Amino acid sequence: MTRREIFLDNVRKNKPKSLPLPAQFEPDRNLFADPVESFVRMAETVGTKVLRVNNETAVRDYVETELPVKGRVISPMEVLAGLAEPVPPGLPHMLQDCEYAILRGRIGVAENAAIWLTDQDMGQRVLPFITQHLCLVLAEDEVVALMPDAYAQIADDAYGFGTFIAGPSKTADIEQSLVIGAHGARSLTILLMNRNASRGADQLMFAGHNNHMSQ
Amino acid sequence: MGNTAYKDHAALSAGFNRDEGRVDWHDQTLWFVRQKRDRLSQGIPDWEDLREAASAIKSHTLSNIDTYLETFEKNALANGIHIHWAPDAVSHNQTVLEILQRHNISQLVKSKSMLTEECHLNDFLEQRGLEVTDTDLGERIVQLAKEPPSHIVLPCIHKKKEEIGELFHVHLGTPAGLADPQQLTEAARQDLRKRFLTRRAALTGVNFAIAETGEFVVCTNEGNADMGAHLADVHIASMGFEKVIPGRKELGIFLRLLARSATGQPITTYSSHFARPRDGQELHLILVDNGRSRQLGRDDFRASLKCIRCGACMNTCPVYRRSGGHSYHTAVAGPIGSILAPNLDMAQFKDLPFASTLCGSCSNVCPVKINIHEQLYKWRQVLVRHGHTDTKKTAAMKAMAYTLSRPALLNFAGKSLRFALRYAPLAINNPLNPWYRQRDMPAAPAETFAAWYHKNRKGANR
Repeated sequence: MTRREIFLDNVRKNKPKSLPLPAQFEPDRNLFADPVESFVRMAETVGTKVLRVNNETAVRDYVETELPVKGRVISPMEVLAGLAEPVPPGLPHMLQDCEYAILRGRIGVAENAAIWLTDQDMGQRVLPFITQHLCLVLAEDEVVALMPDAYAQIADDAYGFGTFIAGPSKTADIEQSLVIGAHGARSLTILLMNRNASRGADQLMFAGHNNHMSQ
Repeated sequence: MGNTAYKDHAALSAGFNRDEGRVDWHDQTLWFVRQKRDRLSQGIPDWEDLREAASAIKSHTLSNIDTYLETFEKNALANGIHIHWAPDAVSHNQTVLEILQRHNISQLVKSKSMLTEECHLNDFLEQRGLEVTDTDLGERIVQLAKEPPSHIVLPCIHKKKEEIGELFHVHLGTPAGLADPQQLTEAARQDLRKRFLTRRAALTGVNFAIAETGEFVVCTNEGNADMGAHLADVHIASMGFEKVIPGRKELGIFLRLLARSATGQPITTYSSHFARPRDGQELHLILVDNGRSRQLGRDDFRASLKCIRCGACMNTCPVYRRSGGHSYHTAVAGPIGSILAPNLDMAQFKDLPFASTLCGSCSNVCPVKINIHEQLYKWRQVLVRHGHTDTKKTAAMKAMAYTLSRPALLNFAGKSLRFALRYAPLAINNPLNPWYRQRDMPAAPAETFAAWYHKNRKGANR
């Protein structure tokens, strides 16, 4: 017998009588009067800086004027063309000196301030982790109340990799003292837009078919 | 474990208890985590319903686990993930070794995986000349100290920052005497970043595997699993088969429970969903049984397989908080570990179900409603039936049962005891009687309950 057969045989011999999957759990949705306000409050409690902006033009203005310009700034967002370097293809290790990455999130969750994004939004999977500082752009109407609402939207989306990010990288492994900046980004800033421009794949810019930004 | 003489939970606890200040600190720190868990869970109005739903989903999944495993396999294969089946720890370790050897890789970075602790993977690989770097900060610290983790979520909770500073001074070249958590973490970040960038293989654990999509989810606060996996040419993920859940809908329930129960956070910083390898990368997933199917067949202990490894039962346990994780001499310590370990080896872990007051706090905080304290009690009965109990204790219990079932003898024994307590306490309370090590007896009562009852019974009837 193969290991697979031995394995499944042992499991089958030992499993109990089939029990039904419970009826779908309907969560209590009265947790928040205003999911957007709760999202912002929760983000601040997990160490995230939230800036309210009007639209993508305001995001561009922010990057142009507010961002510390020392070091590499990388973003696949078309609206940042010329301000940020597009995500370079090839070895992910090339991103090791990224100082600031700006990515477009898909869904924000009010109950835990997590933002969902997939590899399509990252260009390179390692980017939101390897960058020293991370900025996520989200629109208010992309904020849902609870995790089940987020998964209702994700539904059967096909992605290679997706992640919820809630705050900067952190650890409390030494005597339970909270330290921000473990292995991933040392800071997270959310640019929360009150108006959502329609977004599509054509808005994302990747190296190779767009102009590079010189360093 | 290894070659050292066998020491049971009581003996190992006695060692931990020598430093009373540290025990107090350990106790209070874990209680603080328990309180954070309370605050967060109380913020969810339907928390109890959520626990109930999670528990029922796990019951359903475990009762159809073969079908779910096959569905998961089919979908994961379609995603381009290589699936391996490991009936035991040895076949798991061999599978990891074979994958690494095929790629000529001798160094790997590893994020937290209690399963690889259970399988003793690090020892296995190191004995064969490979280098393993644990990348979770707490795990890195205990690895440098050549110790196992003492807690599944907080691996070095037994260590003081000065001791960590000393380890880093020796291994990472930080200044002697440096004990600031911020600076120590920064030193580890710099050192591990070099390793992430140069190691070609990364091993991660798995928090949840989703049957309907063939993806798996890894939760961390530090981002170490992602740093390893997204830079490596080869990503190996190891999971016990009980981590499979039906779909993403169910994931939405478990992710609400996990971090709130574990550390009192609304969610971990990163909840990463791995569905397909990135271009040019190989992604392997090893499904492990290692005794889990045997536990699945035990009616009384099956529910222990619902565990999502949050550690809430440890943080609340009055015994764990005061005895430390190493006193359990098994990969998963605390109440849940004490019902998992005897399934792996009844003789080696016969002491663990007794390392509990059966107060039930563990069952009350468990996010998937495992009846932990009831299972501890049931394990005791199984262990007695299998002859795994201390002969002195068995003899004492038998003598007590004999006495309690004979009123005249009980009367005589009671009189003798009261006499001794009053006039010759040293005959009982002396260093030879282990009962008195942390205890004292009450003053002997003036009269027995039986005497009191006889005197007052007439009055009560009137």
